[in-house]
Amino acid sequence: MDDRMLTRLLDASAPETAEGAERDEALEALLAEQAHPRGRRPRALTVTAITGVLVLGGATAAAAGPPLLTHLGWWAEASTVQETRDGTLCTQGFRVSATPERVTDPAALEIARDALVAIDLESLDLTETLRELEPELAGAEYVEGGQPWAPTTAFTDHFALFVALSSHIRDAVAAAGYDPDSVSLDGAAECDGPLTTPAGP
Amino acid sequence: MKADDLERLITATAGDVLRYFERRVTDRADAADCLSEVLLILWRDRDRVPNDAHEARLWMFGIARTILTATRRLSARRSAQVERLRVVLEAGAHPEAASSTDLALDVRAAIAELPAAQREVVQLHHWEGLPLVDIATITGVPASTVRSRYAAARTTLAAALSTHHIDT
Repeated sequence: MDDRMLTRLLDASAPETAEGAERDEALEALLAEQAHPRGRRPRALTVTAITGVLVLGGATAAAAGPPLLTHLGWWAEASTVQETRDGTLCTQGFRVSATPERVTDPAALEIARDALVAIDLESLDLTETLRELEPELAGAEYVEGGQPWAPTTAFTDHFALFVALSSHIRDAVAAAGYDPDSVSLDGAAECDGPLTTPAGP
Repeated sequence: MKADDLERLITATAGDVLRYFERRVTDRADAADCLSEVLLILWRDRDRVPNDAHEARLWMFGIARTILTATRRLSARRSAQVERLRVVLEAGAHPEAASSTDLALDVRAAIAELPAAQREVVQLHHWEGLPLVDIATITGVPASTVRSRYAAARTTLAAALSTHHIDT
């Protein structure tokens, strides 16, 4: 068999893919859905931008793992809609992922994901977490873009759920003999009220 | 990479990456989930995406390759648009025997018999249309190694398919 014929055979062997307008439209819709929000959700909690100045106690920060993330580039593996103590309605989503820059055993990720999916977010008792977290949040200093701000009750409640969930997942991973730091929890909240208020002088 | 540039990259490359997954996953609908994973990684790690458009495209394929080989389970919870694309892909799926010629199936079977490293080079080159030098970038293997793998694969395939011909 000569080279040209072989090349043609190989080129023609590609499995067919779904093509057509319906596919293109569905793909476009997916890209739009997962595109960077950039202001489309003005009330969404975006703690990514403020992690540099979010001052928390070391233990809590470690338990919380990476910062909360709100962007539309991922879908939640567990979610809940809850009314916070100040009457704000928040949709909260979470997912687990491998911690960047660390070696993550796929089995550890599976355990973390199973722990996340199995837990009942609505009935998780946050009393203890809030008792520890509220003084830390109250004593922290927050500045973004030169503007000081303070967390609202909705922020605190979401953060408490995140911390409690993170702790639960870390315990499950550690109990199975894996490094809990190798697995990260991402969380996001979208609320019908403000998550931060202006603060300071 | 800036958000606008990343959006342009995704718009230009997402279709090709989706086809890449479609040709490799067992259940074609899963290609939608795989693409969604790529998107989330791109947005999450956009600071790590190369600024050069061509390098960024290869980086995107590299992410796709990693996702394909990862053992992680696909999420049971999907966004509405991922679900929509899954339905479209599923509807567009044809049984192999009905959608491909016997010759194509034979060639695919011969490719499947190659060692994994050679098989990947052949598939990326002939199915995705990627130059060998780009395959070297995506797979993180020296270009000389990719070339030798490709040459070895062609020798094997030529022998395996020696009884076939294309009608001209």
